[in-house]
Amino acid sequence: MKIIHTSDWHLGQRFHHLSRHEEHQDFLNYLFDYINKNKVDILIVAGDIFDTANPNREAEKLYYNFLKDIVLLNFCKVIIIGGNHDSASHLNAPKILLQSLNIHIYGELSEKLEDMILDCSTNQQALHIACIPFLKDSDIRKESSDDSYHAIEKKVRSGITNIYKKTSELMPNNSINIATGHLFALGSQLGDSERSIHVGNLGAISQEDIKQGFDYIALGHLHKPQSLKNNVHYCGSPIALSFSEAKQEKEITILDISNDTITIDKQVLPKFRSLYQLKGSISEIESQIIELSNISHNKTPWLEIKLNQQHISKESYDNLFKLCQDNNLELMKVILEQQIDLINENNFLGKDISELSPDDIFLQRLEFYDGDIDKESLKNCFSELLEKFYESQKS
Amino acid sequence: MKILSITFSNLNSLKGDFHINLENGTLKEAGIFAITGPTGSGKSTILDAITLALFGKAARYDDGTNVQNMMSRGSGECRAQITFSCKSKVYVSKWFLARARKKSDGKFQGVKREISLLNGDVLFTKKNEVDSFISEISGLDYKRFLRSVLLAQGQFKEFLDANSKTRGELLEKITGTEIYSELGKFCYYLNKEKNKEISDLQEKINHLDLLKDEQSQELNLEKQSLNENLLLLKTIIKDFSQKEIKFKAYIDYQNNNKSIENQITQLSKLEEDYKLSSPKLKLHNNALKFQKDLYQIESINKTILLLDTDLLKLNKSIPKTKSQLEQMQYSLKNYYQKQQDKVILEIDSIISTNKQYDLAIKDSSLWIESQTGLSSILDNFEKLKDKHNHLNNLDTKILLFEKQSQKDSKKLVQYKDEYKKIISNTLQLQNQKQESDQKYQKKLSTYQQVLKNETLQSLQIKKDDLHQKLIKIQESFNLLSQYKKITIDHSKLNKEKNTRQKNIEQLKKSFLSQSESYDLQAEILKDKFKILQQSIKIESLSKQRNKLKDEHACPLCGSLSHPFATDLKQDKNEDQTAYNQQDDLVKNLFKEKTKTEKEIESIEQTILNLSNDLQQNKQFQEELIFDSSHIDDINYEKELDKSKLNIQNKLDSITLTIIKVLELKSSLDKYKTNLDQSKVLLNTNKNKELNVQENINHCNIEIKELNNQINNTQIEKSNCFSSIQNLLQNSNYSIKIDKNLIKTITQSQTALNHHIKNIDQVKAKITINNKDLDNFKIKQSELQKLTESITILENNHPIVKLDSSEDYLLKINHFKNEVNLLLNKDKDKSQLLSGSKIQNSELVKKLSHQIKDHDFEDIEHLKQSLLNQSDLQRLQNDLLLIQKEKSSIETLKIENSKIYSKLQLDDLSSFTELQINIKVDENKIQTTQFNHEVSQFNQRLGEINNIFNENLAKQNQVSSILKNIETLKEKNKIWFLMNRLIGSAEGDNFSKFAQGLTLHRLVQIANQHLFKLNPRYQIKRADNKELELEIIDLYQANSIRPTKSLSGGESFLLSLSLALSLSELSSQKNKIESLFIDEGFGSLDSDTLDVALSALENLRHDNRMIGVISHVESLKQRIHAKIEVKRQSNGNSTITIH
Repeated sequence: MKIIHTSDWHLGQRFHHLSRHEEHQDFLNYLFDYINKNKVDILIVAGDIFDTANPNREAEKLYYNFLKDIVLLNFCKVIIIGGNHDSASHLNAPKILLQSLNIHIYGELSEKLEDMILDCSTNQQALHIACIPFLKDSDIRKESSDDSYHAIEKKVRSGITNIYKKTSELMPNNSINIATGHLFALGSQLGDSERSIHVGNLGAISQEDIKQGFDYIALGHLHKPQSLKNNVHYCGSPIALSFSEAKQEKEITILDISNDTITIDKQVLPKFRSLYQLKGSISEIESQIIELSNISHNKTPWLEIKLNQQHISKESYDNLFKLCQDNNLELMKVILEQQIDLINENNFLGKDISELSPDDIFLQRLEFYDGDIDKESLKNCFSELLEKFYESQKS
Repeated sequence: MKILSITFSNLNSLKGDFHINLENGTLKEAGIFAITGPTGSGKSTILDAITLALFGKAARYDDGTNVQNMMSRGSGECRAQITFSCKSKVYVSKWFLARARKKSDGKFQGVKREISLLNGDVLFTKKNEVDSFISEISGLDYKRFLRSVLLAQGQFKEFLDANSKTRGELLEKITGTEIYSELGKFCYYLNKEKNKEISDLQEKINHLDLLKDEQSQELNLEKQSLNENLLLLKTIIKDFSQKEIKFKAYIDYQNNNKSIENQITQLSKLEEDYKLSSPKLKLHNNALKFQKDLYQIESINKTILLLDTDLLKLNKSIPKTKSQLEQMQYSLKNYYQKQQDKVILEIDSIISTNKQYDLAIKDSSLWIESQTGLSSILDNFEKLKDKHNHLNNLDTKILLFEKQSQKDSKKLVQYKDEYKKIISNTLQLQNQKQESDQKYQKKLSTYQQVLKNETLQSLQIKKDDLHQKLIKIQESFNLLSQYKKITIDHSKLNKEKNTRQKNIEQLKKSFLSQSESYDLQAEILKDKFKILQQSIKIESLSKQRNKLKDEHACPLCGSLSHPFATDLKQDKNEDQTAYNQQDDLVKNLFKEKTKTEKEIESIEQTILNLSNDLQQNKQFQEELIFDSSHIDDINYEKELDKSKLNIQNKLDSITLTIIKVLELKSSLDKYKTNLDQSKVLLNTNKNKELNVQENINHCNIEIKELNNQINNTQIEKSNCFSSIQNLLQNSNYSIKIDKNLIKTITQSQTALNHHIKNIDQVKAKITINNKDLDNFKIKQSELQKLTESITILENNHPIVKLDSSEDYLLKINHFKNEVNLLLNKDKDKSQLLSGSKIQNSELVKKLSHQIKDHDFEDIEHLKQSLLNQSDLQRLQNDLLLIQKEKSSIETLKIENSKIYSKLQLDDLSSFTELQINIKVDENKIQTTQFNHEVSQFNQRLGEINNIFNENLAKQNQVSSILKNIETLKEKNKIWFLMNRLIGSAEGDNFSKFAQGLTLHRLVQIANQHLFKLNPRYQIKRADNKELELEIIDLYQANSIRPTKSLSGGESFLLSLSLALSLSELSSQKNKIESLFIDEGFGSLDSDTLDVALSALENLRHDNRMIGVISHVESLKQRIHAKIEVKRQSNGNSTITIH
């Protein structure tokens, strides 16, 4: 019995200003061919099918076209669970219809945990899959804004482990049992692009806590493929979703189940588009660009440049840009060593102006004054002015 | 703050009851929802319902009075109610408005407000209380709420696009801080007012009309020419005055000449007078030559007179002094006599004391004589002393010996006691030893009895023998039981072998039948397979029939019509199943067959094993039989038992004896050690006894020796005593011979010594006295001699009492000297007197001779001719006066002539006095004329100076005003500065600064949101202090762009983050979890839409509920969850949530 475990497609993702549509299309074609060629029985997609809850039409089209192709193969069961980027209701909308086509959608947690367990047994092999999607706050705790951050985190963690524990108790004994999940498990490595998926929102879960009672946990959420202990596995995203993932080898995970044993293998995916992260001085980067131009690419490679200098003149920037253009490279990001941080910039007020009195504002004004009249008398003068002003307002 | 549900009825076009649940269902699930509907359909009414329920106000009916207009037409009441959570509590806030009797034409009633807890507990119902409660728990008032919950996104697009000034105004409006521009304006005008004061003063200066430069120059020129003219006039006038002086001088000159002449005549008169008195003066001058001599004579005369008187006095004083001398001499004599008497008395007393001393010496000599015996004793005193000491020593020795002997006898007693004790102890020990000895002997005999003839070792050997025998018997037993067991096993194995063999025969039979049936069925299977193949062939052929088409000829039959082509039978399956079933059957049979075969094999193997076992068993049995031939004998076993019992008994008895013997031996050993110990004790005791006896003997000897010594010393003592007695008897001196003997002798000796010393002392005193006596005698004789010498002097003098003769002698000498002195003086004076008289007469002679040549008759004449001092002075003065007068007249003459020559008065010598006078007059007239002119000029000059002075005063005034202005300026400097700091006519100076602060804060918070929305951008306030914004593209090498060049997506991101920032600023750090973003998306291309939506989605991840109010079609399509407001034909609208 062959199973593919994949996740984090992020269909409809825009990389900076550019669409990933072509790459997604390539990936899905590749996936379809693989399934067809290897007669894969089950495809598990562990969340984050779409990049946004309200994906654009192209993405939706890609999604449904792919499902249609799989349906036509007539031997592959598809299991899709909701991720944090997905809208559960959006995913679930065609649930009933797709079920009849052997496509099983689990956009959100059902009130009955029994409903989350899918029997995939055949004559030869008993197999049950607990299709647990991304667990939202409301799934795992009653909201209370009084709770401290740690208290919330603790509640979230215990809520999640609780659900896995309860589900495991419902699993049949003499069967291979698999669970899915879209969460951040302890011991895993984070990349750049997950930062925006609010990893901290759902605290890190100890893998031991969710592993009990399952033979394999198919996880999504992290983009780097990684095997944790005890067959807890992240298959990672099929395409690099940020430049930090540029060098990562992307894959789909292949499970082979026979005679009640699981063999885990992987199929490394081709790079549908090359992403490069170049670091160094301008001259170093220029030579790197030249080197890149000697490699043949079937799609225009995308480039991120990290300059190890504080500034770059308009001219050299334009030159760099042109060099990329001439060598058929798409320059998407130029980052300087100097980090501009206006968020944590020392704020001299720390207060809203409407919370401040005119005196406070005038004091601030004085901060910028260094004439010969002492500030104290200016302050007094301002008080006098205010008094006169208020009097004039009265009359 | 989070809005959980909205309920309202009859508001504007939304007539009827509406309920929107944001906490459950689609909207909650989606997180982002759109409120859509055509313009005017009532999208904003939903928001109005929220503000009405919370604050009783709605955006378009802000003032509150027109809230009534919110009620749908034709309704009698309207209401708005929201549930919201705030700080973990849930509240329900209500707003209600009704017409009278709830009829559509009824009068409006008052608005009702209420806030309650979710469970229905009403908290407040009064408008003010509700308002303040809500703003207290949420930190929001109506304006803040509008700004932080309902984000007018368009406002920020506008904000982004605005220029600096408009942006300031917008910020003011947004933050409600218009006061800063007002303050700025106020400051500007205040400063202007202050400046007016200064300009007034400036005006005042202008009014003062100061001299202009040309004017003052002209005046200066005039002044100069006037001064020049004045100078000219003055020289002319000077000329005139010089002339006048000349005239005057001439007149003076002439007058002077006259007066000089007068003086000359007066002088000549005086000269005549003086000539009359000149002979007297001549005589006087002659006499002056002899004046010296005269004085000499007179002075000598005077000394002669003086000497005469002195001589008289001396002659009187000499006899007086002489009498005094005599008196002195007499008193000295008296004094000597008295001294003599005294000395005699002294001598007498010394003689008497000497007598007394003699008596004392006698006494002492007598006492010494009386002590004659003592001296002999004293001669032998050292001997006596030694003897006596020896005696004393002997006494102490005896005492010591006695003490020692006492100690020794005590010791002796102790030793004796000890000895007794030891003796008794020895007796005891001997008894004990005897006892032990007896016991030991007893035990020894019993021990020997027990052992009899055997030794312990022989017993042990016996015991071991027995033990060996016992083991052997046990082994025999074991062999016996083993043999039995093997015999049993053997029979068992035989039995099993038999059953197995039977079993195998049965199995072989069944195997035969099974292989037969299998062969049969295999044949059948082969048949069935053939049938199947045939049927497949048939099927494939009949498939070909499928290809047959009407009108086409069949390749086999050539028929054009194919009636059997469509209805094909499916026989293949039946054959297949049949074949399959047969196949299964055959396989099963084969399986069974092979199973049986295997079984047979296994049983055969067991049988083989069993026979092996049997063989082994037999061998073993044989071996056993070989070992013991009687193994089969039953008696053998009994015998074995008996001998075993016997040996066991023997063994037991021997073991018992051994134990007994061992016990006895140990007790015997114990006794023996006891005995040995007693012996040792006895020995030590005997040793002790010997020691003590020795001690006693030693003591006895010591005591004896001591007694001997005492006796010896006693004899020596008596010897010594007798020798002392002998010594004493020889000297006839009676003394008790005892311990004090030496003391008394020494006492007597010291007394003796004392007396001898006394005698010596008295003798010394006597010798001294004798010396004194001699001295006094010498003195006496001297005094006698003196008295005798003095008696030569006269006797009639009173006695002068003096203390010593030396004083007397001194006085006498003094008087003697005085008498001598007086006599010498007298002699000298009389000599001098005679000398002076001789000199005088010589001088008179000489002088009288000389004067005769100079017309003097005698000395008397000479004396008279000398004029007295006053007359002489008068005459000399007269002469001086005349001479002076003469010289002054001379000088006057010379001066006058000098003036004359100096003023060149020659010119005038031709003019008469009258003429000159006329000239003088003319001169005067001209001078006055010139003087008049001078005064006129001076007047003009004064005028000009006045003008200048006035101008100067004005200038002072001006400068004081200027000073005033300066001080005012100084005073207003701070206002000036204030104006520069914050003032401006438009008020934008201060406002710009204040709003700059707001902008700064706004941008900072906006950046926090922007980072979450898209980490690519940051907003920055432009460096130029204007309220301008820039965007930093971190992905384009931190390039900075003005906000005007933003793309649609960027502009959305920026304006959204600014809106969120403002929301946060307004909510005063209360987290706003419900957001309504109003329009502002404009027409969005798909790229921008993606950016916008992914940004909004990031907001959703922040756990916020976001409602987007929009009528942009593409957005509506992209957002799945919707509150759709649809207008109906009757003008009212409906709400659908999907």
